[in-house]
Amino acid sequence: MARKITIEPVTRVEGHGKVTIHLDDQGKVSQARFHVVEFRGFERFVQGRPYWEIPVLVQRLCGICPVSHHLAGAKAMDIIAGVPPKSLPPTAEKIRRLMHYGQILQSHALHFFHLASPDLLFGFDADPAIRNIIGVAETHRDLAVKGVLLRKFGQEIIKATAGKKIHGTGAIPGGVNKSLTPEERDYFLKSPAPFNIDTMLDWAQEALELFKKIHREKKEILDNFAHFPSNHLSLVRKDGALDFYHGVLRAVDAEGRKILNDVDYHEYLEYIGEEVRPWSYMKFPYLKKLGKEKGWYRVGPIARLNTCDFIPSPRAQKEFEEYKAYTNGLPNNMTLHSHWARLIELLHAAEVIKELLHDKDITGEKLVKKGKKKHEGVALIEAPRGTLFHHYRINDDDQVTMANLIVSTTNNNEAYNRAVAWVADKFISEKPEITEGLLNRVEVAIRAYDPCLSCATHALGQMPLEVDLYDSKGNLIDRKRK
Amino acid sequence: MVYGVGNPGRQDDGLGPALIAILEKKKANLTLEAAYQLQVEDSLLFSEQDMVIIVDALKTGNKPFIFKKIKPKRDFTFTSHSLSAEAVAFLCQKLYERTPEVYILGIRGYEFNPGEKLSQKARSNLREALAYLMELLRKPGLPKNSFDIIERASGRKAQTGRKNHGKDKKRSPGA
Repeated sequence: MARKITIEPVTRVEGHGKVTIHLDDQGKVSQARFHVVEFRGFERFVQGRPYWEIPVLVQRLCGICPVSHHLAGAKAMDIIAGVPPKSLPPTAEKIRRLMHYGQILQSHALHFFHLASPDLLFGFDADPAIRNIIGVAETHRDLAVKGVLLRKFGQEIIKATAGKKIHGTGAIPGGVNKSLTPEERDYFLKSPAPFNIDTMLDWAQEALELFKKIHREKKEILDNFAHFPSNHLSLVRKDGALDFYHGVLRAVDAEGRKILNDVDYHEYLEYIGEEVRPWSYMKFPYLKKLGKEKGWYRVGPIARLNTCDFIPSPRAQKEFEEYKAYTNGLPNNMTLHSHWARLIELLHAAEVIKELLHDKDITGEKLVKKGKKKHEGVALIEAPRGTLFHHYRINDDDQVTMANLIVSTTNNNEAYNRAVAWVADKFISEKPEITEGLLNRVEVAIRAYDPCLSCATHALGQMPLEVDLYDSKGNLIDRKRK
Repeated sequence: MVYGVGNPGRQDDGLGPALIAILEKKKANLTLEAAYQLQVEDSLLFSEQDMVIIVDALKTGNKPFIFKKIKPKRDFTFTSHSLSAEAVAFLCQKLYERTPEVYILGIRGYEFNPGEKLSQKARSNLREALAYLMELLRKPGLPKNSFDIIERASGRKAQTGRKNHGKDKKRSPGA
């Protein structure tokens, strides 16, 4: 009897998705899909709004990484305001960078300490009552406390630079509306331990050491789990350095050959296509040069460390060299190594934050520049989960007439499906029973990419995880909830 | 602390932040917070309070709002983007050995699609919930005493009938 297993929603990812695994009459996986109930209509939602509202408005896309949308929107509006990236006042660019790296810090800390660590520490087959942040709090209290404070530190950086914890207004077309006061700067530099940047740096390093320890103990599963070749895409600085805020677009294949060689992202439509498939709300982006079938790619931490040549901060660079040596300098295609890559980025973010806090420009007074208005703006930024495109056109009345957003989660769409199919094929099709551990492996694979499904609605009373089992005729024969 | 939770870009999901915005304008002498969702770091914030009122949108129910006390709970079904108040209270207890009193003021919403305006019915519910909260806050003495009274009141059988709602100030909102 052919069966369909449905997992909805996927727990511990941002928002809700649904996984369906189709089994044939022999119990083998015939198809696996990661469905996304995506936030649709936002591109229409912003039409008609004045362009200067965009940096604030787009934060409502998502409650998890509003800063990424805020800054991508602001970067696009810089172009429309006639202020190209190079001419942004140094204080404005550095305050934005500080905000952005604060966002990376808090998001990566949340992911590792509170989403990934339960699986890594307790194992995929551990009791689900333990394999979560509460289990970590009970058994590894020190780790959980550090995770909380790392995240809080990032949030406080955002608050200081954006003005608010949510719906910040820090970035505006052509600059920012505030810099840091010396007191705000010293709060992050000189507060008594543990709430200072030096402690955060040490904790980021400790997290990396913890991952490496777990890796030594569980090498086989961490290396082989959902290991499949792919292309990789990200922003890199013009000299090839890792950069989350600005640069050029680079893509490499699974062997490291360049597919996009540091192209101008303003021309992204020449290089990136988006395929629509009838069973998913989310589009499937691909590199036009390779076509729909072969042009899919990964974004995010693992992709960024595959595309960049080096990391421009000493401690993270040292870790990067060790990371690259593990694959003999070739791209890393091991899904669970995204945790390793993410922690190297966490360390880098902390280093950059410290460097910026010591930069006198962040207390500067020249905040905004004006230019000659244009009617179109494209922006690209590396959000915590990967490359984020914002593209807008406006009319003569300053109203937005077109918006096109390709969010990180969309860029990773095919990767999720490949990961689910890999896991389903290896762990589910041969088993006669749908166990918690097996289902969690599907979630583990998806969580490694840290998808954000742009579903910030979360009113009280949402459904728990639900697993449905259908026969070949579509009849529900089993249902599991957790 | 009064903590509004929700996304104002999702219509009635923004009820919590909307109530906080009103309290900010009234310059209420309270710690006020607003966020899209409760998160792990809120356990630290909770640990610094004696009492926390979470204001959130309700998707179900036939009452304009509910007010109830919650207890720390091993709630392991949460996703990272929306820890339950019970889970945050539990984390607060485990990580910081603090157990503030935590209440939920849930306001019934009806529309959760992309959009910035609250629905008309949700606005009406917000007004009623705000009046209820303000009444508590105006009571002399520590707010804690007031909430103790309400906690007992909300344990009674819930009264219904929206026609009378708001006219009888002693009426319980139900829980």
